[in-house]
Amino acid sequence: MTGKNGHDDALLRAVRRMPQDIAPRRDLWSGIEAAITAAPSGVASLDAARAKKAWTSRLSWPYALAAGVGCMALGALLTFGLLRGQAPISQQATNLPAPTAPLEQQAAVRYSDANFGGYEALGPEYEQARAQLAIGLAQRLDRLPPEAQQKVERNLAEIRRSLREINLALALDPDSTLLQQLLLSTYQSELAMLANVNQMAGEIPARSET
Amino acid sequence: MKAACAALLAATLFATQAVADDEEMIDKRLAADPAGEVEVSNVAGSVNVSGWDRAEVHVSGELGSGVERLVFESSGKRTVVKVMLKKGYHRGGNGETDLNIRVPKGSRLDVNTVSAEIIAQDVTGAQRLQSVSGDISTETSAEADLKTVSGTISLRGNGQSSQLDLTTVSGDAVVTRIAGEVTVSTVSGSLELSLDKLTRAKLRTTSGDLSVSARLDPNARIDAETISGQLTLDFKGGVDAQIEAESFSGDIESCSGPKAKSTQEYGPGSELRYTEGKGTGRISVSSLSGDINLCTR
Repeated sequence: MTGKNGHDDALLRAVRRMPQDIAPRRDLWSGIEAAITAAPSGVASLDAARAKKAWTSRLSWPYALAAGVGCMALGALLTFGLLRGQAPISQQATNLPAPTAPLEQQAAVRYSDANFGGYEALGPEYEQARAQLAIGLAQRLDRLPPEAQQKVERNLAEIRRSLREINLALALDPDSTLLQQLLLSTYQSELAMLANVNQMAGEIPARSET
Repeated sequence: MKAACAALLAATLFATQAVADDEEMIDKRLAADPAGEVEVSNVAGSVNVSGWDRAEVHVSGELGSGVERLVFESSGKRTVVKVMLKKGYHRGGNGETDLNIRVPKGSRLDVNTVSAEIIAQDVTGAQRLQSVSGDISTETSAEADLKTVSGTISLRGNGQSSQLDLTTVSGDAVVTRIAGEVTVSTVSGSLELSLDKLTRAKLRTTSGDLSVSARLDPNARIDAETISGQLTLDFKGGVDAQIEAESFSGDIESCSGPKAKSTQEYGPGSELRYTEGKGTGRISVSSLSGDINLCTR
């Protein structure tokens, strides 16, 4: 029976039996010599790399700060989005103005439901144009036949439902260029629809004032 | 007895006169520029416009009750045909007015209605036709701008290159033999386009289905986008284009290119990229949850 010491002795004997050195399969010196000869340029490139690193490290703290703030904002948006995302979309839809709600009221709503890339993200001019068009349409909507009014409101609600879906998807995948592009063009669709219906309602044949 | 008969006769005459006032027949004509603009507006009923070789505009038809008068005037290159409703007139009344209008063939046409349907034929000038809920049916070989909220649109081209801008909110559309540049958008309507050679197309739907069949110019630029509607693109006759299709959660099916790849290991996203022929044109298709069917044979 071999004790602990006996086991260690056997291992040591086995180690001693192993080769003391291992010759390389090929001569490596030529490569090492070439590298030493090229040292000046290598040093220069190292210096350049160090200089670049120093330059970037001088710039890196504002980037780090900005990135930190960005991460915090994104984290907050994601958390908000996910928390809201726990409710089914149809349920969230009930939080929005009903499609038949007055358009003035809808126009006044800043889409806090758009948890990423809300109207304000498209700039104040865009938001202002949208609000003006919505108010203009609200004033002209009664010129349309009741059935057409309902269709306009139903389809505006459809566009806004699409915006919410894209926003929910963006909360989960904020870097998706596909989603960003779809979001932008859906905002454009909403604006275009408001403008088109506004124009059509505005051009409805006038009643005689006589 | 005599007095009673006279009263009855007077009442009958008065009623007849009232009906005549309510439903006035019209038959008017004015000289017009052969390449001028004809502007028409009507609320309910119909507007039927056809081109002819004469340098005049002829309006015939019947003005419905609720119509105050018909404005029919020409000044320079512009002729106006406008149905003016009585003040306080409500849509619920019988305000239907049917207008038959002959215009010089080369006229530029601008028609605007609420629920009146619009029919145009044999007019070679540019057309701007819009109706809130009336149907639009026209044929064109020139620039056309068609808009409706809920009416249906039927448009026929003749294969010549032109420019089409078609917008519906919930209305359906069928377009045939249009070529050149096409911009089409709908929120929830169903659009079916069977086109000739396209150089540019911008196609967009929110939730309606959109189907396009066309030949492509070698340098064609096609951008198609859907949120939740189904998008079917069938390009025939030899396609030279770089093709990119991407969907966040919809399916992408291709009858000619490779199979779509998944963009996320565990997510539903998919994309498809390949080059057909010389790759001189570009086809870009994107979707949120709508399915994409693409054929580039």
